[in-house]
Amino acid sequence: MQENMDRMLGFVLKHYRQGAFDDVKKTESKNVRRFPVWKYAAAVTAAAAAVILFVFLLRPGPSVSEYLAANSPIQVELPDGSSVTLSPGARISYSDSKAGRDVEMEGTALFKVARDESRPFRVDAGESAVEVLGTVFQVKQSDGDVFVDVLEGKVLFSGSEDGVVLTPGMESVLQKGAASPEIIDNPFPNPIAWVTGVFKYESTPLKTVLGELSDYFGKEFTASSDAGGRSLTGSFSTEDPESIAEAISAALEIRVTVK
Amino acid sequence: MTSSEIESLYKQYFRQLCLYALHYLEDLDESKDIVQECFSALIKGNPEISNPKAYLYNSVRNRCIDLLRSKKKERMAPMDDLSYISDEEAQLRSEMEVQLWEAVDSLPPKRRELLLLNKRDGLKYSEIAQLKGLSENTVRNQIFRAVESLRKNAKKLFSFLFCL
Repeated sequence: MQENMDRMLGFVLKHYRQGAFDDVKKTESKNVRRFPVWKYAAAVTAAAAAVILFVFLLRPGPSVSEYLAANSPIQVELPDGSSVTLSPGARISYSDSKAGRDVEMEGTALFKVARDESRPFRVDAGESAVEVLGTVFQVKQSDGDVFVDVLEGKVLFSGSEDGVVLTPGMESVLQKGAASPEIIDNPFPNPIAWVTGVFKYESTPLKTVLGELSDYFGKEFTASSDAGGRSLTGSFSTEDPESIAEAISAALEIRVTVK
Repeated sequence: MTSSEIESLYKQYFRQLCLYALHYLEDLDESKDIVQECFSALIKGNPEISNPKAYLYNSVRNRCIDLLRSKKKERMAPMDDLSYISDEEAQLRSEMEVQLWEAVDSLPPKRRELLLLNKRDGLKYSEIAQLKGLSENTVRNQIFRAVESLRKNAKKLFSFLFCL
């Protein structure tokens, strides 16, 4: 069955042409093409956000606080006692009422949420929502995809349809245009290296290590061909990619290069 | 058959008939033309039909084989990109391939582009990385995720179809 499925997929991809059937309109609503809808949705969301902010600012009651990180990460204390670390360029707006705590955000942020069972803490990022009572987790937006990493406690992460419950060590992504998040198998072990300044590995497959480093630095880490199947234990500072490559080379007696 | 009945057949079956024809002809434009002709004939001839779906599949098959003959091709059997398959198999697959096609349609555009450069156009990860100014790992990662999500879609679909 798997084989058949892959053959069908191969066949479809070989002949695929975007918009080939656009002249055939289907009647069922579930087949409505998604892209234009999203374009409008984004515009509407932006408009709605602007309006909500405006209303909050004018009315007494729930208070709105805005935070923005410029060139370096900043840590801020929220009025409810939670703390947030924002990566460069990230922005959040926090509002709080008797019913709950709401955050709208852009970019990457690490949340340490003060426990308050009566007022759930909710983060809206793009088309996703994360809801918690008290935990440590990270939300990262990248090219329209939203990634959530959980470090402590439990998190409910949902798209427009379904949600997943995440526990420590788990990572999940809501892809742009998708209705439900997916859980990522074998996530990178150091999702918050940008905060801790350290990559920590314990018998981590070298492939995963190089993948994480490439992703983090936006450079390509490659190992010489004799490195297949090796794994790595150790800690490395996030400061200098070149010296990490040297350290790994020395430890495993292989050659790791950065480009 | 009324024209609105034909129109709803068209909406329902046009894509899967094209994919079916594609198994014979291996050319998307020719396949679309053939299916279009079948519907035109249906409108003009207005024959008595008891099973429209079987009728449409039959007439698409006949036209495909005529076309292959006129091009003096040796091959008269449908195929996928690996080997010959049976006509029945081609019919069955065409229904599921429509869903896969639509799943590809709804992939995030950047990810779809990387996937197609690799699987359709045959570029290596390193070539795509260079072309797009991305790291090879990012390319590999994006393509892997795209294939995973298509597989997941397909799995749902399979379990649905086989439960019936």
